[in-house]
Amino acid sequence: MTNLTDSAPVRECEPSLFRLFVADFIRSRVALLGLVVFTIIILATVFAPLITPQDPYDLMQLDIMDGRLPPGSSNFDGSTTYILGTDDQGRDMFSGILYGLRTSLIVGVGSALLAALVGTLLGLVAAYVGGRFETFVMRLVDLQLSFPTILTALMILAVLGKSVLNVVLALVIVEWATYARTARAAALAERRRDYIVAAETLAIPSWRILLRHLLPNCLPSLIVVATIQIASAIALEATLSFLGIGVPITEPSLGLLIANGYKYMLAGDYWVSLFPGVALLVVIVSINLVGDHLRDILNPKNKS
Amino acid sequence: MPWNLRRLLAGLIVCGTASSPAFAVDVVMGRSTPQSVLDPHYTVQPTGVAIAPDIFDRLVRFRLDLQLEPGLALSWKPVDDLTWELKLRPEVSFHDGSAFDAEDVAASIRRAGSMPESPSPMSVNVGAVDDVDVVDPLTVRIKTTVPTPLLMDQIGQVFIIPSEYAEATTADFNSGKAMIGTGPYKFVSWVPNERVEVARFDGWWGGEPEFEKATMQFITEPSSRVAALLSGQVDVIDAVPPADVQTLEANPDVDVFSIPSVRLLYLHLDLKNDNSPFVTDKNGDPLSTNPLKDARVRKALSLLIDRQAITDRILGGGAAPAGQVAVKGQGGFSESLVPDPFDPERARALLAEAGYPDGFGLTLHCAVDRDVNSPQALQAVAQMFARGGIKVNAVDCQPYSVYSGAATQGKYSVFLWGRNDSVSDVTLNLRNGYMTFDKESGFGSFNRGRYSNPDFDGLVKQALQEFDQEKRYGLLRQASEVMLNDTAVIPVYFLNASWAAREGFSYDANMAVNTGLQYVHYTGNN
Repeated sequence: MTNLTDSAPVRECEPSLFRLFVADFIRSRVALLGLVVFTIIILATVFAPLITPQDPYDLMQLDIMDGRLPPGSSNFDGSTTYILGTDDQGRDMFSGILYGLRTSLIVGVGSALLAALVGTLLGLVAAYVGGRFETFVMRLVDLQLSFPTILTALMILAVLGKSVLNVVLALVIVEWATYARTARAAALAERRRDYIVAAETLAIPSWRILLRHLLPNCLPSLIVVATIQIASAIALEATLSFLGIGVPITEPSLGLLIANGYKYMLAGDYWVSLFPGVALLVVIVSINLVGDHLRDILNPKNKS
Repeated sequence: MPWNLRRLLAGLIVCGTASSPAFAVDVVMGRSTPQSVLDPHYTVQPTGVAIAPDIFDRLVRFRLDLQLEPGLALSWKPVDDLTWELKLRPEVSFHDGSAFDAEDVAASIRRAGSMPESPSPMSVNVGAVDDVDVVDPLTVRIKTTVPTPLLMDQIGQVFIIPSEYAEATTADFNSGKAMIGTGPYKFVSWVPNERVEVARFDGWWGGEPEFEKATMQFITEPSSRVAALLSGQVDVIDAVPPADVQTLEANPDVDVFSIPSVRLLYLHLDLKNDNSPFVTDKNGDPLSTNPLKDARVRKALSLLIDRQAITDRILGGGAAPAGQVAVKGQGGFSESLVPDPFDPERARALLAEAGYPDGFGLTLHCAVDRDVNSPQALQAVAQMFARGGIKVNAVDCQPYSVYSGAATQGKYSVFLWGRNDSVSDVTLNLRNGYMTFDKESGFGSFNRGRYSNPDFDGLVKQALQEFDQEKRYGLLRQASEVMLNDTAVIPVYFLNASWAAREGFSYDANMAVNTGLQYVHYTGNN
């Protein structure tokens, strides 16, 4: 039964875990709704070029004479209907929102995953190795977390300049610490468990213990953190773009769309800001719903 | 019930104060520009001394159309090329009761020139002054180092303080101790970043000031300023955001006062580099030549811009299309320089003639946080360029602190810049902005595109020495025409300046974009 000792306990129930997920999600209506909405959003953004009437990033397709039209208006020859209206550049808000969601999701998910990779690795190794390395990494985490995220991101972007890649980089830098701290805490708890001690006794290489034993057992809490962090990364990107230092203005993300419409609020042109704002809200809420439910499922205390 | 009664009483009191006689009218202004110091000589930036014009007088007054009229100086004339003689207004007294005389003028001009700690010192306005001679209590002679026809425009900016305060420090002004002028209002109190309070000075030489007391509240956030006006918290606001002008105009309780201002937004073009950093071919690869050096290409770019669409759509009518750097009424304005029409066909023909039948690639730059809606306007320009066959690689808007440095160092190819020039003629504007760049003489110091044309330089040099106003204006007109027929820059629009007031008040909209109590009038029935 060497096979048994060489595999983490979690893996044993893996076949049933997925089924458990599905069953559980179906039982919780709210979480299911979140999942369905999120899936629809993902599909809509992936197939955005096929379903939008306009490429909002192509200057040739924009006409400022169609600027700030209310929802339901058509362009001059009636060939395009702007169901959610247009912004001041004549950008169709529906197309703008779907394309903006693309940017927001790529930046949000990309940075959250990248930060998860870096943070988890550092946290796990710190917990496993201990000593000076652990102190160093954890003080770095403290340092990072003691700075307001938005300020750090602003400083990084001021130095690096504006581009989508730099926004991702800035978000990774401000978010890795949360993962590192979570991973270390989870790993420290697991570290003293018998199966790790057993694995060490068998002289299994450290990297294998880390990746095959420690990591899978720390995953539940990390997944929960990741869902929260994806939502917060999207919100943070929106904030940065709103402040005018995120993505380029000709390729607006949701935050920039909101910022563009913000000054027309008192003038009564509510749609320029409102619809991207609603879209942002829906994305973040749906991700959080899914994340909350994942936490319920993955919490060992709730396991019946 | 007592609660209701109290409300009723409060309401009666409010009605009572509102219907009090006109001679005790107070006003509250919501202003966009808080001041960091009160010292009227601290900076040459108008926003930095924004409340000074109501407390201090100057030698001249700037009329609404930017021309000069007598202030504390009744008349002025050149005695020779290097000397001006000024006759001063008699029987003027300061807020502390002391009489105004020639010594005060001399002390003020000297103090304005010695503000070493200022970020943008007034010395640019008094730099030409060599010496101020007090001939008698009401006559001064000002000697200049070089012939200076525009001396009064320059030293006219200096606020006159009593000579007893010649040694006063900036702190003395901030504490209010030295805030003694001859102006229509006396200083009462200052809460930094919040408000300044002033009260009527009954002994003002210019007549009876309109308001008993006035409060200037600093509200930097545009929407909050508008909201404060709508709620009645303030009576008058400055810098109305263009997006809100139409809404406010539709409101019966509020009037909007707008005027095309001297704030010009124009495209600077890199005419210096042979390989301009942000000019590419259609594939995005660098070009070996700089098409912007060809006047036909510059003209074509100008013809591609539908200025009316930008001012109507992006600025909500809050701007006027521009075809030159001077506004009507300013010396040097030329009737023949109308804004370039939107003519894509002629533009394409010109591009083909210049050897770019298929256009080329460009990245456009601007500041994201300087002028209202300027990034949106630049995006619209990008749209129009794209329609005309120019491949717009990107529109890159940076924070002003980053942008202005890079623009001045010539790191951009085509970039949107804003400038205001609020003196009575464009001599200095043309000298600083468009003459061949020369570090020694200071000519062309703001000429970021490095336009250079000897004919133009010659005309401006002549104008700089010409005392006869008519002749000078003629030279400036000619120079403007030479420069704009070359399309040295592409003027796009003049921003409107807008103020709004609640019913019962009016505001004199002025091209120089000055905000002050002297422009506010009480029209009654509030």
